[in-house]
Amino acid sequence: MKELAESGVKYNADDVVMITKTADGKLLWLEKGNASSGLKHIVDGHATNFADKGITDIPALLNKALNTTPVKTGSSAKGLYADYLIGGNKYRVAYGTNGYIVSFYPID
Amino acid sequence: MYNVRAINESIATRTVELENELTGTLDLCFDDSAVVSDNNFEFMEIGKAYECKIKLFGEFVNQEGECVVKTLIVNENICIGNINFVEVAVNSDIYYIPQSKMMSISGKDDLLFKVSRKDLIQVNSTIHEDLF
Repeated sequence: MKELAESGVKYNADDVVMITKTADGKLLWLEKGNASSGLKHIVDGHATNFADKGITDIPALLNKALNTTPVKTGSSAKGLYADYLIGGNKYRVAYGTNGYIVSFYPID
Repeated sequence: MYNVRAINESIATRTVELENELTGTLDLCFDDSAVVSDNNFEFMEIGKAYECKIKLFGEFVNQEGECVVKTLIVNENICIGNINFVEVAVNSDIYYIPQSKMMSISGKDDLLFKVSRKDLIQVNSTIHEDLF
């Protein structure tokens, strides 16, 4: 949290659910969020998809993914993304250039 | 052809409600094409019709249950982008399942599939970047 505070990015300290450094040293964080982004968006839109993969603790899986090396990364006008392979399943993290996690969902 | 009935936008992804013009079936499709490419499906407009391909995201199962549909294989090898799919019919609606999901299934044309999500993978000539 100290490093996030010192990074100069805008964030809501009270709403931070998870914060981690990726394998390549980038600081990413997940906030409680709303219908469009963050944990609420992820749960509202993808809890069933995760449950079908046997996943109930989404932030824990996200943290685990971010601490591995992505199998694919890229960017678009929407921001950045990275794909991770965990337990034989692929998951995608979409995040902003500031490190704010927008979405997380299984893709394969 | 599919008519776009509604689009629910989020910051990165969205859902698109499509109505099959032939069968009248409504499908709520997940669209993350704009996350991975600027050549995406964002040109779609509510009220307009497009040729669409929809992937069934989920797993083959052995028992009927919630969200489980009976799929009938229509074509065993359809290439979309660089990925091979199986074309299946669910009642009169056509969907696509990656061939890789079929590895443990053999000898039956009539299979049960638990649909976790429906993903939009092609609209007109635009193919989702994940398939390349």
